[in-house]
Amino acid sequence: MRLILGGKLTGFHPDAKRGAVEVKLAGPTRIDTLLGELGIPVKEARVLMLNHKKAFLDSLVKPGDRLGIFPPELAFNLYVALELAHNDEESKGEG
Amino acid sequence: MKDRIIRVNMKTLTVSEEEVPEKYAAYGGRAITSAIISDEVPPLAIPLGPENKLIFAPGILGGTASANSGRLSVGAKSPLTGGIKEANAGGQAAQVMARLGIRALIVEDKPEDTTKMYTLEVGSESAKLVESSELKGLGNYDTVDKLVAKYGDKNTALVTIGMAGEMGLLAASIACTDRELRPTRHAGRGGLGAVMGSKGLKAIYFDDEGTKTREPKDKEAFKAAARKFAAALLEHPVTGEGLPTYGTNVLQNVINEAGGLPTKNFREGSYEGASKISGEVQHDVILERGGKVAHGCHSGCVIRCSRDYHDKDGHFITKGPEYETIWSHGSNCLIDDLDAIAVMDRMDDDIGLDTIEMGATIGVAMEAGICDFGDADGAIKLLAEVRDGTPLGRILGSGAKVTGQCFGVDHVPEVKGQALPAYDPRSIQGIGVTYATSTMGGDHTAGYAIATNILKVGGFVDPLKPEGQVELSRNLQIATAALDAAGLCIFVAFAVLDKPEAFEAIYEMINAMYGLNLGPDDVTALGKDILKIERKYNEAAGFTNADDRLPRWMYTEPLPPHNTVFSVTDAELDEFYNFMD
Ligand code: SF4
Repeated sequence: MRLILGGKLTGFHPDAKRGAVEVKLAGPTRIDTLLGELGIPVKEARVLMLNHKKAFLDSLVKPGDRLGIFPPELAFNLYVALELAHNDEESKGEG
Repeated sequence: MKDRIIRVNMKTLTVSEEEVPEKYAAYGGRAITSAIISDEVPPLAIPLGPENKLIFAPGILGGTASANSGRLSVGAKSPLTGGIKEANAGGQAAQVMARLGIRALIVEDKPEDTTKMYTLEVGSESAKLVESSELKGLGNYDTVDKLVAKYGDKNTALVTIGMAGEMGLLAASIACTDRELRPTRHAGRGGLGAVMGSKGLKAIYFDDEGTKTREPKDKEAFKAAARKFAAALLEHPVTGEGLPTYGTNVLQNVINEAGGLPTKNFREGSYEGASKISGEVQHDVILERGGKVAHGCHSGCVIRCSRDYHDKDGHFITKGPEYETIWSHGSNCLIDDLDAIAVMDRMDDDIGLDTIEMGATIGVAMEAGICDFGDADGAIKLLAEVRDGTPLGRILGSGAKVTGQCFGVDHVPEVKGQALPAYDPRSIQGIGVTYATSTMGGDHTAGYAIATNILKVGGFVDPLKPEGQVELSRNLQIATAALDAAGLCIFVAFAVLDKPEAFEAIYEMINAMYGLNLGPDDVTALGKDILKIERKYNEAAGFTNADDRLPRWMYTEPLPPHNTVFSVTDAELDEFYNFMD
């Protein structure tokens, strides 16, 4: 799969500074599991984009997918903010 | 000192002063530029003719100790759109104007001898026009160098035009110097540089000698509110960390991953080369070459989204560049070379061109086959044609629409004649409503923020679907108009719309400054009043609902990767102005 890390999250992969990096997946993997493997704290993964669409911590990433992970300080712009509004609504709904 | 309005008549070459009329008492920035245009410029005036007026105004919080309150509004009837225009710029001019007690500076009429050019000198005691034929034909950088040699580098703020403004090109901008006296901050949109050029005004020099930060009526209350405001900006992750570290171009990767990055003249919504020109890469390149990140475009900015970009040898090329520029000259033209984009940004600033309009125009020129997509050298040569005023250059310098018309291109990204910015409305439907309905033509600035609690937008609006987009855009445009009137940088919106105390702090500062008693509803009412003035003006200038539409192909050509079209209906768009009297 191809991984794009935003802002300071580039520090969690040696090659992420200069763009998308290839990450080998054994099979479908939950995003939160992948975050754990990369060492990225869940609270730093504010915006998740799987194949250009919003994703959630329990979404499954498969080989060949493209995943963007962005921290809270990059969570701006209309689209992203709307995504956040959605995630917040959902988490409020669950709580 | 009582605030005043300065009136400059370019025909008689005289300058006069008047008191701020009661009806403009609470108006600053975009509120006063739009009100004066509406009151004084006939809606059918020819934009480059003698009836048009060019108005400069700081916001009502300009020159105060408020953070990020030094934005300049420049207004006129736009030669690009044919409608009312407010173009907004950073740099030092607004802070100095406000400290000089100038609420608005109105430039009217035209000189009889059109071969002459003038500089307006404005100080605390006087304002006068001086002939400056030696500046004729110069770019903004050389113009500023000559003016700094004349007026000195202390207490100086300059507003200038380059060759594009002198030639009356529709993409011409007006440059403002930053704190380092470089012409890097532009009132870019709508061709206002051409209006300044048509009046024979090459430059304005503001003398900051002896001025002081504006004193509030209630000092303690102002201090408390200003502190609260700055603290909120610094605490918010976007304004306190994201923008200072990476600048606006941090959006390159984000919007690309959202599938909304207009690529190859709006043919695709994501660009493989985006990660090579991202804010993260830009940040590292800048630091490796001894440039600067976290740079404020005017004194008092605490967000500091600007930066200094150096070439490989460590010499300053340009500021930023900003997201919109790296998108327009980069992704939109399939150019993934930051150095080439920085050269184009510098050329735009020097010639005095709107970088959004020019990148979109070069995209259209590439579509026409004048130059290949991805050809950075070819794109740079096209800008040189504009600088040199060749027939091709004059077409390109008149923007995307004119270029499309001259070369038979049927795929031109524009609304009301103004090129669309860096978000494709087929992936981000809400911004499409803003592009379609804004009184300014294709304009994104209201789309930078999202109102959730304060303006009671609430709930989830799916960016790929039409539902709720009109209300969302309406509330954002109202809020943005009010911020523009205050002189606040729109990037404060991230904190203001997220943190109730930041929003409160804005009207508390205005109240403490002027001894008023405004509340949140007054802020919304002001934003609505501004939009009403502008909408009515545009209607009188001949605009109808049919002008509030995106280009037809955005309704029919699906945009990869989401393969969606713009689907907000015409009837929904026509509901946008439901608050008009
Ligand atoms: S945040 Fe950026 S655009 Fe706004 S005032 Fe500061 S430097 Fe200028």
